[in-house]
Amino acid sequence: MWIERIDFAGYGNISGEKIEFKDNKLNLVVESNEYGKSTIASAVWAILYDFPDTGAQPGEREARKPSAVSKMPYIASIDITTNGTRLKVIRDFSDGAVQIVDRDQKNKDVTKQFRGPSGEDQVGLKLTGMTREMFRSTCFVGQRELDEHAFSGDSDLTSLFQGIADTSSSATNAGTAIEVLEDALHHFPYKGKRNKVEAVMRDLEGQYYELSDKIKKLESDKSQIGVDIRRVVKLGSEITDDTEQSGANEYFELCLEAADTDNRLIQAQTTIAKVSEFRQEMSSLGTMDGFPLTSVKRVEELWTRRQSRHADYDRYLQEMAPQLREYESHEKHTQDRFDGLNEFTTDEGKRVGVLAVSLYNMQAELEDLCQRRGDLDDSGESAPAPVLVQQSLDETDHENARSYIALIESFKEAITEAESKVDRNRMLIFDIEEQRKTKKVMFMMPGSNKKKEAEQAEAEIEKSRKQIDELNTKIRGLEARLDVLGQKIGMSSGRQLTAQLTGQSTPQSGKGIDARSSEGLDQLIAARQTSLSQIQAELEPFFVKAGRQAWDINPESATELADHITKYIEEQRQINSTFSAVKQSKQQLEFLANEIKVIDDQLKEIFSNAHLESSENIEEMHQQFFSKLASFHRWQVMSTELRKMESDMSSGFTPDELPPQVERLETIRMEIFARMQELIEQYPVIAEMAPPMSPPRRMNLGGSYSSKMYLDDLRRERDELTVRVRTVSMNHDQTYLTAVEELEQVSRELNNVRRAKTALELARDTLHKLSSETYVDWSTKLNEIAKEMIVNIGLDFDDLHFDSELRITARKKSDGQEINASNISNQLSTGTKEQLHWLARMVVSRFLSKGNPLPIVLDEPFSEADDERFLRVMQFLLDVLVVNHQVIIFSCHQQRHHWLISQLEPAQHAKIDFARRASLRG
Amino acid sequence: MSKESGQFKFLQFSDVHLDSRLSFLKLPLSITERQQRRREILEVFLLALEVARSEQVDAVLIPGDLWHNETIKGSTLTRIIDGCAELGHVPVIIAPGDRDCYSGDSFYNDDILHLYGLPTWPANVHVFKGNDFSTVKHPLYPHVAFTGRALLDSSPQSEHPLANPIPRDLDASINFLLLCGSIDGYAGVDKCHETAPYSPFSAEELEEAQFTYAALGHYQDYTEVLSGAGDILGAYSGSLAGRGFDELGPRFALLGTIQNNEFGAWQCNIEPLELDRRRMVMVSTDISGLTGEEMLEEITISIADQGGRIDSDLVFLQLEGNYRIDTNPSAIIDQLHYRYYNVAVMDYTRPDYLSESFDERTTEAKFVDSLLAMKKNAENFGGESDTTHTDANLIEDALYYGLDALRRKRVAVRDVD
Repeated sequence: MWIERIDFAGYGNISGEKIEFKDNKLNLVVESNEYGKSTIASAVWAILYDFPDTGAQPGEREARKPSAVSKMPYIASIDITTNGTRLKVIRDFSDGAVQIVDRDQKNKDVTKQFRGPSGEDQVGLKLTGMTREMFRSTCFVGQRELDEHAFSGDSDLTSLFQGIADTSSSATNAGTAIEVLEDALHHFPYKGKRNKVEAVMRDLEGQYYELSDKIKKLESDKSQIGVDIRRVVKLGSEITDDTEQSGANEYFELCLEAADTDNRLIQAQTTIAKVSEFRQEMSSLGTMDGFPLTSVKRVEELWTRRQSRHADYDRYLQEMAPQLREYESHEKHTQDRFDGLNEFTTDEGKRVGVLAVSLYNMQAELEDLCQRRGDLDDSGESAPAPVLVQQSLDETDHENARSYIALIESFKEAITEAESKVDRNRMLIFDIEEQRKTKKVMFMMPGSNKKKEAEQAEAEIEKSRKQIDELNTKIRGLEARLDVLGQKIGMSSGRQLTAQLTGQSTPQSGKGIDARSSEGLDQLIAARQTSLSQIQAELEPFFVKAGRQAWDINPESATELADHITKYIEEQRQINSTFSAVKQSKQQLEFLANEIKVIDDQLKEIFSNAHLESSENIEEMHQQFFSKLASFHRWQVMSTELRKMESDMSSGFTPDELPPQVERLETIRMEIFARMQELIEQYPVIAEMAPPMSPPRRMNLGGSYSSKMYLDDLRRERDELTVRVRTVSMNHDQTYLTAVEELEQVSRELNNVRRAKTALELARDTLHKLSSETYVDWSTKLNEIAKEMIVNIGLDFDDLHFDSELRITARKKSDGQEINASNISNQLSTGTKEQLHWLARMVVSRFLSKGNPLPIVLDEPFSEADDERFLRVMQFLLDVLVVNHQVIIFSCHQQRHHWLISQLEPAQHAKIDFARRASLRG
Repeated sequence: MSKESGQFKFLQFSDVHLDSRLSFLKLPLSITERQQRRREILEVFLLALEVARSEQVDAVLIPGDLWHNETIKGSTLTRIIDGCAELGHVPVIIAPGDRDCYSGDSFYNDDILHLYGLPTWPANVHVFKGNDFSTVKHPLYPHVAFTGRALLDSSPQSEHPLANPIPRDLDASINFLLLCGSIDGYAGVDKCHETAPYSPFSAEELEEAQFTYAALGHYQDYTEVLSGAGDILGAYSGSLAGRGFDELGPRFALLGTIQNNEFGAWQCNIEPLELDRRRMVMVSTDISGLTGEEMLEEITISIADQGGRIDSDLVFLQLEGNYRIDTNPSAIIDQLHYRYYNVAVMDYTRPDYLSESFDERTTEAKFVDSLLAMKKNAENFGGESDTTHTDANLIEDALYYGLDALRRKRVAVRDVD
């Protein structure tokens, strides 16, 4: 058979395209992934055989449906030539409908020829001579199927051939099927277990015989009852007596009957009383539904753990009591002294300290600035009238005075500058602190070490303060000198002299300077006041936390708070360090107490589920629980007993049906006693007459058997038989019917197991016999084909032989050496091995296709073979296979196949054809 | 009996088969479930007596097979006797049939009951004890008489009981006949299980016997016997409660009334009363070619079509046909058991292997051919092949076990009879 072309109206992802193949050529479809190679390969089987029915499951039919976007019908066709006839098979996959036309007869519809007796679709079967699965397993070689490991052992190939010979489906071969059947016999399912079928049968036979014997015995007893009854009837007729004796007999029988009735009455009343008692007691125990019985063990565990924890707790407490008291005393003392500070952390203490210092500095600075501002105002408003000092001071003093004034001015400027620096640095620190608080900046951020910056700023402030102090000292020194000079000319102070000298020299500019200084000071004062308020605002929460008055935040109170916090923390640290062991014990105690609480909570939950009365006293609840448990056990026992009694039908009645029975029995009893009374009244002596049962057999003095004795014996026998009849019948009632039904069930099961065993064995033996026959039959035919094929191929072998198990053996042409299947794998080169295996496969294919060479389709073969091996195998395909078969190869390895072309002889090259998809319109 | 209307009211039922063995083949339930069913049947019997009391009938007629002699229990007898006693003055007329025949050790005999320590029959119960027909008057209405007899053993009796004239009470204007026997022409299911007829008679013979009404027993299905003029001569009430899937559908007790018609003749009307809340329903469903969901749907529809009431009836579902290989009927059966508590399933299905094409050269094809030939051979030899003692079904089992092993690599062992 030759596939000429495949047309895809719509199939998978291919729409409106075709692909053409050449006969006796190696058709290469070498395209990249996603080209649709697998789709093309699958189309061959789908068109010939349709998709297998997968029922409700979404199968390949659904998977290969063209997308709605393509708007193409779900149809594909294949042009083939087989045995000289050119056919077109058109398959509509939407419903699986197929049409075959003869292209040589103007597309005459010949579909009928490809249908089975019932009109079923047999297109693939008739064209290839094989079923779908067989065609696939013979003519389609999937990815990796040709890899060396797939051919490495003879078993794989043998089982492949056996599988093909055994079944049309790809599932398995007869060998495996026989193992499955054997397994079913060895692991036969019975009542949820698996056992050897013989063991199951033995077990059932045992039950069967046991039940049969039981039934036989019961039936024999039952027939004996019949005999006994007849005997009793006979005895009744034989027992003849005078009237008095008859009365006595009746009286005695009534006694027996009364005893029996009493017995039944007592039994019924006892049962009623017992049931009532049980019900009452159960009712008095209250509802036990939902009692968490499964939690009892948990409660016991929890309780044990609780007691253990309690013991630990008490022991710790006892051992550590003195130290603990001491520790607590110290702790209390510290707490008392530093009331309200126990919540402060070390960092907070430090923070309060920093803020207190800042507040102090800020306050001092503000005061200084205010004073300076006041001085400035004083100098402006009440300055004395300038005095001419030039005349009084000599030139040197005058010069000195001017120098001093100039120096003072320059020092003041330096001070102002230093103060500005202090301000800047303080603002910087403030900003950093703010950022830290809002976590905008982390101190550890690379490239911006804010902590260092803050420390530097602090150092700068310190430095500037020192500088200011030094300058102030110098100014004060200079002012003292000016005072001396002023006093020399009768002035009250150096300030007057300065005013005169500066006023004379630069009155305008002096005014200007004053004006600028006062503005700058005002600004500084305002800035300092803002900072001061900010620091106070920041301190306020700490004061509140410490329980101190927040409106009285000043450097002293802040310093005091910081000092107290530091001291408290320090003392606390010392206590902790001194009493670390005690503290650890205290923590341990706290841990234990917490654990006990958790246990208590769990217990309470369980107790709550058990519907116990809620109480804070866990001990009491625990006691209650176990008391309820005891009640529950009692309740359970009674409930079981009650159920048993309720289902006990031995008396023929359930307990609830008993009360009317009791009434009935009481009536009977009264009737019996009434009759007995009647008899006594009629025959007063009968009550004193010896009962017929007693004494037992006795002989008269003469050794002869008296008629009285005879009658007594008859009565005794009758009574004994009566007892036996009742006992046997009761036993029969209780067991017979169930035994009969059980026997039926066992018998049925036994028959089914026997039948299954025989059927499984029949299947196994038949399969074994037929597969052996098939292999022998196949081997004969395959050997004939192999003989014919191997001559034409020209390998180094002159014979390829299939044995009766379809194992292959090859004979070397050169030395006649026969190489069996395992040696083919072990001794021959990979190339030779593969050639032989290919040959074997083609022999099978030729046999199955009934002499009609079928196309061989390979999907991505030799993907893992090295170049040399790849080349050899491809050469084998070209030289040997292509001669008789159409070969189609799908691959994505373009470079490799181009390289292959370059390596081939021109004659081989000519046998290759590259196939590609093309538009149907072209 | 109402004096104004002259109407005589009776309740008839028979074939109760109390404490009889319930065969799995007819009632495929567990032993415990079958025990439960026996208890239910006893309850239906007691309910019938309760109905007799509430309907204020003038007599209760039981023409045979009230219980099975071999298996009846003392406790059941006590309840029967007590139940009858509770009817007070209403007479209960019993004609023992083949299963409860009046043998030497019959429990209809007070002496035997006495011997077993059981309560004796109350005065309102009359049991015919002789094999010859006898007549008894109604204790309250002397114009009503009952004629009957007892079967003395359980084996089939070929003699025609109505072939000769039957004594009637000529003083009585209403004469009842109680007869346990096989009427010619009966077409119920149980007819084919009957090896030989029991005391056979024909409708003509019954008409000739000239009884006002014949209460008939022995057969399972409710059947009326009409005269040539279309009047009711008598009726089988059929079994009172179903005991297996050979007693399908509703089962009845008959509430009858006899009254004068416009011409002064007695006319009988009967009303069947269904007292057993549980019916036996048999459903056979072919699941060939259906998917799992379709199977379930088909089964549900089939049950509904057969009038199966899922909450009360016992449904015997017989699954047949060849199921698709991609389906799993046992999963469907599990679902059915989950849905319907009272469904007993008999799965006779097979996987649909044989619809496929087999390559004749393969072992598989030869296996199929070989076993099918073997089966045909077995069928031709009356169920047994000439070489082995395996029957045709067994060979079919082997065929499917083999194909299971070849196709699925596993074998599902079959558990059907």
